[in-house]
Amino acid sequence: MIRMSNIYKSFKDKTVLDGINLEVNEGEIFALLGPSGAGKTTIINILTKWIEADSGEAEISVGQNEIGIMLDSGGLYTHLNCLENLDLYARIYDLPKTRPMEILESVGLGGDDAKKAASELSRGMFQRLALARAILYSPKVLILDEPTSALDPGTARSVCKLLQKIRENGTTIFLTTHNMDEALKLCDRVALLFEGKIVKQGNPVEICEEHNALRTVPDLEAVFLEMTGVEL
Amino acid sequence: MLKPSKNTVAVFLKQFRSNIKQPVLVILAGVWLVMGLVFAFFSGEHISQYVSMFMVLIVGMQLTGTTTGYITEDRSTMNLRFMSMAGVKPREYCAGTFAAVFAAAMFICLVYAVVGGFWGPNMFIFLGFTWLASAVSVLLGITMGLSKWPWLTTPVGMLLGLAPMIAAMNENMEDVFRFMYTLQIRRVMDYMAIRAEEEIYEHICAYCGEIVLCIKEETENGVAVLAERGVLEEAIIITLINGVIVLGLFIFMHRKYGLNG
Repeated sequence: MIRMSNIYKSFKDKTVLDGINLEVNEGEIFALLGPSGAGKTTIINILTKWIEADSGEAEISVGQNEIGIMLDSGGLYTHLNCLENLDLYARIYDLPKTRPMEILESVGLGGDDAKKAASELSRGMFQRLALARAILYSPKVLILDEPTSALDPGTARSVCKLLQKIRENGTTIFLTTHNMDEALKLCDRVALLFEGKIVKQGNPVEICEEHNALRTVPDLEAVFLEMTGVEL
Repeated sequence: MLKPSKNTVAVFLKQFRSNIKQPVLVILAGVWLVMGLVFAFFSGEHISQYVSMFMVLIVGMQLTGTTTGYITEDRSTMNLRFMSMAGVKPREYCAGTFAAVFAAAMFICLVYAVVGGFWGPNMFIFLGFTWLASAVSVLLGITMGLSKWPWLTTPVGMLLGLAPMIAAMNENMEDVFRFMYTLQIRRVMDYMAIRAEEEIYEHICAYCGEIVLCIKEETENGVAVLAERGVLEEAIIITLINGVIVLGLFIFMHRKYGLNG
């Protein structure tokens, strides 16, 4: 569904991506793990064709209009309310008029919250609205950049449950995070990214087993530390 | 008749909502109108003089800036890219944005025409010309917004809005800026302001022998001709030429950058 092979990208003299190879299968939840500046967002930008790689191939095997994207704060107008924010894309995708409210309810922004301006929302609610915008048109591929970064643990868990539910409907999910526990619980496969290189890729539990990092609970952070010598 | 696509309607509704939720354009137009009324009250001059002055500022400076502002906001929130991915074509986006800002401009011009006391045929001329100039300004705003240099809108808007006022103080300056459509707004507005107050009469032109329309004013030395025929025609021609140039720039930016400037 998603494939990158031998992707190289530099900005001026700095190499940001150094030979990235990855493949995400249909219906999988795949996470790209790494610290800030590892190159996660650059990978998203290349996948969505917002920037071009210096060399290599990147492709998503669905049309651009079948990809849902949630960025940190992108895609929302702070002066419009939640319903109005979704109405723009509901009209573009020719969705039923009831669809925006349905989606808002599914992310816990139904009722009075739907009429609130985006600027009045808390950070967590804002992030859920961004997720609602990304899943509004039931995309076949969902790309999420740090989907739970600003959420409290309870809200983060509810977002993870929602992502599981979306995956059950056949959506392939590609996300970036630096939350190792979340990746461990949520993802089928992960890739550990450090300084523009993928240092490890595979099933998170298997990776932890391989590196004897399961201990009492599987510990991906320990694997990352072992592979890179750097703490997250 | 051309039916707008669903994408154009979606963009129009979003921009129209933004007009209502962030009514900078309408509020500014209202503030200037109130200022005009206050100035007219204290100076004893007709309100139409001030309507002319502020109309130039709105059409030349504010419309361009507002239009570019919408596009800049859509770009900074990544919505231009999301819309592009969703299949919105640049022309659909531009049409929706144009329609939303132009609708607001039409409303503002109508209010100014009424408050300025332009009735009957004068209102047709006032609205016809200001709407034409507004269309040029909105198109210019879209062109700047699509470009890689949207920040240029502020100096360009300042030039378009303020140059006609400065030019009014000096004949040489007037000649330099004569080919700018916003200066033509001022000329037509002046012509209209005089028309609103003075009589129009026909006389035989001393040079060509044709019967021409003039606006007269009684002075100590007799009748002074304040405005002769040709002001409106010349203004329309210059504005249309400006419009064609802006359209050319728009087509260039549209093809070169689309929604990815």
